[in-house]
Amino acid sequence: MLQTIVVGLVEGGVYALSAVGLVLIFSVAGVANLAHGESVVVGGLVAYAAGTYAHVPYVLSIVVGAAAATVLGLILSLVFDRLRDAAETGVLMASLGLILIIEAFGVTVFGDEPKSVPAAPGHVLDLGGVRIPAVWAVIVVTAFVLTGLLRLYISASRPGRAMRAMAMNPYAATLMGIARRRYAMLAFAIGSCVAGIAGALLASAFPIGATSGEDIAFKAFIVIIFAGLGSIGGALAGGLLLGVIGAVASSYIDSGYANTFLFAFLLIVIVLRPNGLFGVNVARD
Amino acid sequence: MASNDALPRLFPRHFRHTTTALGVAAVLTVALTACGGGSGSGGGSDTIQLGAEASLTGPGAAVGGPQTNGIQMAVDEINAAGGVKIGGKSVKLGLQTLDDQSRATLAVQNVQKMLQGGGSHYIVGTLSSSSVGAYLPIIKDRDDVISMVSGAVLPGITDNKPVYRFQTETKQLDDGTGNVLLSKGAKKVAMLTDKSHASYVGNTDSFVRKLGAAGISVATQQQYQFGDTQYGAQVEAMLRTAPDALLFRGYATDLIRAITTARQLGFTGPIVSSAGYTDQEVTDANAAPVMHDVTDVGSPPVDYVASAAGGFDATLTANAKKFADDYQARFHQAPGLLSANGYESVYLLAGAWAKAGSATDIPKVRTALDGLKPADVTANAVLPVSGNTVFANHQTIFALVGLTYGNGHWAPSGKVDSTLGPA
Amino acid sequence: MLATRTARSASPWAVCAIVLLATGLSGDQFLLSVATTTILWVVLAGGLNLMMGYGGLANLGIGASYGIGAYAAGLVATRTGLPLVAAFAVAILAAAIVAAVIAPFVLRTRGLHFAIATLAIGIVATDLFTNLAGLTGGSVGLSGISRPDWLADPAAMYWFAAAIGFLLLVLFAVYHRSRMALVLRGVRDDEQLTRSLGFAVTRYKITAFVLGSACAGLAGALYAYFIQYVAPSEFALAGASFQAFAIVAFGGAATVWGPSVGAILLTGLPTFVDLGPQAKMAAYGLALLIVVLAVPEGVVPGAVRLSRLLRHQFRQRSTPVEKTPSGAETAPLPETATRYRG
Repeated sequence: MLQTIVVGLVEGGVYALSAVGLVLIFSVAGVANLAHGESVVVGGLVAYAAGTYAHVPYVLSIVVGAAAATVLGLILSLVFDRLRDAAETGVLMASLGLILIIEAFGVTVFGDEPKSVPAAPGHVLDLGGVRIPAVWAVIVVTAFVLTGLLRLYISASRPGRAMRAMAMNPYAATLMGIARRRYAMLAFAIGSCVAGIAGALLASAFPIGATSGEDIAFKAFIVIIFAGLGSIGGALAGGLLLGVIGAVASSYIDSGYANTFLFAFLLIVIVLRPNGLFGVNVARD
Repeated sequence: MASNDALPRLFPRHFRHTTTALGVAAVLTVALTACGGGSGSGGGSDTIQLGAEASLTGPGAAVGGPQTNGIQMAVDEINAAGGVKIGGKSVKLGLQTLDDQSRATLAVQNVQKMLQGGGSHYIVGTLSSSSVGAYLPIIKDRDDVISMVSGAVLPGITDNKPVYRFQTETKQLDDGTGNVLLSKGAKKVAMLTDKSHASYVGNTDSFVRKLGAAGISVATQQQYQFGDTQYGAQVEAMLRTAPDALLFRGYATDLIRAITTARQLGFTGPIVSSAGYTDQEVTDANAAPVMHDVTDVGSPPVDYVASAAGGFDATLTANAKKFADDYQARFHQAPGLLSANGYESVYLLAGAWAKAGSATDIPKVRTALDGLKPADVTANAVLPVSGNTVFANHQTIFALVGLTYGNGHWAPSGKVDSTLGPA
Repeated sequence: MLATRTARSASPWAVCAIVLLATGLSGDQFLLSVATTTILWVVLAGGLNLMMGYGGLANLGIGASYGIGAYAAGLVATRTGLPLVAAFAVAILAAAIVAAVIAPFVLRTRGLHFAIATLAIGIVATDLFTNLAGLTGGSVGLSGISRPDWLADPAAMYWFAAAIGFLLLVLFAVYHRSRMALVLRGVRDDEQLTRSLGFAVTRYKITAFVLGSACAGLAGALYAYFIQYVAPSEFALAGASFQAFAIVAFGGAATVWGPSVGAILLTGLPTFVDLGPQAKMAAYGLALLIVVLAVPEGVVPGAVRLSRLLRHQFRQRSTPVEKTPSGAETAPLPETATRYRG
């Protein structure tokens, strides 16, 4: 059971890392960015390329991956900025379009085969029979550290406070002289950067391919809706919880229904608690 | 009312800025088009037209591309050599490659497009089971079509007269893995299956019964979905049953992830599969260190046939070497089994046309295919076939080998019997 | 003036009928298979439009209803001796009943939550189609669905689908002018306000959800008889739900012709475009992006607006005296989604 929980925590760590960035983008820029999974994939594949072709050290390859994802985030923010007044369906359709374009490029450049970041730590820790590969531990620890840093930044820094104001009331924030566009871009950049780190770490532990993004984005969306929109800490807790629930259920009940467990749990939560498990009172819709 | 007032309403004001961005995107798309390559090659009234039902995008893309490459190479080779000699006349081949994205509706449209215009029809390729399942109703009673499948292993399709399959049947692969398990002395195994892989799923029940009859119990049956990135939950459930060996059934890229997870979670025993891994796939996934004691069952890979170590017929060895080199030169990667199957399947048709003395009389071509002997196509074969004829009841039986990984390469470790227990 | 207006609203019907007839009479098997597939998408996306277009219910799991219809029809066809009519009836009913059961729960959510909840339903449905092998055949699929003799020919299949499609379009046009569509638009634009006006909002939403799902069930039954083989992958998110969603949003939500135009442009047209596979995918994505940025309400309303604009200018130029009072004709027109008729 402990081993299954460890498995669940690492799955959850990946969900959490992709969800944390998504929740920031969603709260601050007000965009349901379904193309967020592409930032994860770009982070992973660019880190792979940096490690494999430029032979940069492992940590640097993660940085390069994160930087690439940040650039993608900025591009996405430019597109979505044009859609700030559009209906939700418009945002979803634009996301779909972006996913297809980015995937087509990914496949053209990297091929269809899944890739892994080279030179990732390969050893496995053994804690009294519970085995924890080092990269898994890195994923979970990074999830905690990044979430903590992000919360600190949001609550203590000046731009962080501005972003919080935008999340609470974009209209009032604009009236108070907050440069809405700039902070929306910042949210996209930070959110995407976190996603890129997630992707580079994910690709260190489990090879990912150019078309893995959609699935990652769905899971991230479940997490943020499940946890309650607008809460960064909630995204971490929700991601980990969902990972553990999914792993335990599919390991002990039936792995054929792995997705069903996750999504059924989501359905139950949002039907019973529309604001999510750890939801803030203000629902965006 | 000024008309230039009206224009901004048609296109929102910010659209003009957007046009710049879209212009960039459009240029990039054009660039992609250039990289993506076209889909048709040649054709005319004196040619035999082949239609490739290909999976170039969508879930099957990773394996569909290599298959199509193999087919394209065979067609180009034949045409460069002046065509196929049929009844003393040289006839060239035309190839129309249509992407079905592994989707049923597109597969049907593609086949209808190939069948346009009457005459005789040859469908080659076909990777996805759902594609062949979808187009089968259109062709199954027709006497002017042959579908030479070099991919999809959907059970039962070879019972239809137009369908021939030059690809190892899952039943044989499963039985082969069972024999490897027996040779490893495994009594209790844990099984992981790709639930979207029709032929493995279709064969599961009978395979488990056969294993039981051979004295191997299946302690747990776990499942995953093609393309999953994480396998911890399933592997953990498998390891809880303390199995002697793990049995993995699915595509190579997924199974490499599952094998990595199994080794990380501490399993050191034998792992058996029938995925057809390439060397590159293992390298891409950094999985070389975890591939010890993994046995993969399949028909002998091209580079093995090409090597002296294979001990195959000299012509076959030379063909395989040439094919592997040419493929590498053209597509910058080593050919996998699907490329070889696709490649040779075109030559099988060519052999049948030569033998039948016609490519237009389909019933006659079918008879020729039924009686086609390995010797009839030796000049171009790259894969060793067991049996007196290439096809037995429209299905090829391949000699199976067990492959193990070491020093960056998969290499055969021995022959494997493709029937488990009493026939 | 009245005559031209009648002619204007009749002309899309005439074009539609001519296109359907011409396609059928061409006898080209490939064209027929593309057209039949396109009609499938018209029916599916049309169903989605009933809820998403008018009521703002962005159902990202419409593939579930599509699949339920296909499997229900396939099972009736292969396991019972019942005729085609029964298979269609069962398919439509099955999809409608499942929708009616889940509607009260998922409709507790709104907006993005609704979209993600339905996305979850779509994923769960695909899992069920794959895992309930005893019923669905799992990933091996359900084969051996045979068509009755009168439907055996691909041309007959096309005419059958075309007739159903045309009939549905008529029904969509009726729905478009119905009181229900009006209330749903109110719900979409301001649910609280509509509720405060005394409308039983939830009941309207449930009805739209069930009607749309039934329509998807019908598309599923058509699919089962057209392809004669049913496997889970076709009803997954990428395969069905997203495509249907894109068709509605691309063509124009809450319009009669939007889903049809969307289906033709996004599923029919690409089959005739000769591009590399990846380029095709990128071009598709780019098309979605361009439309959402340039004409956010979709191609059909955009085209209507363009034609009005041109007519307006033309009229101005030919009869400069007969000017509309300043601003009256030009100001609130862009609400085309709601003002555009049939």
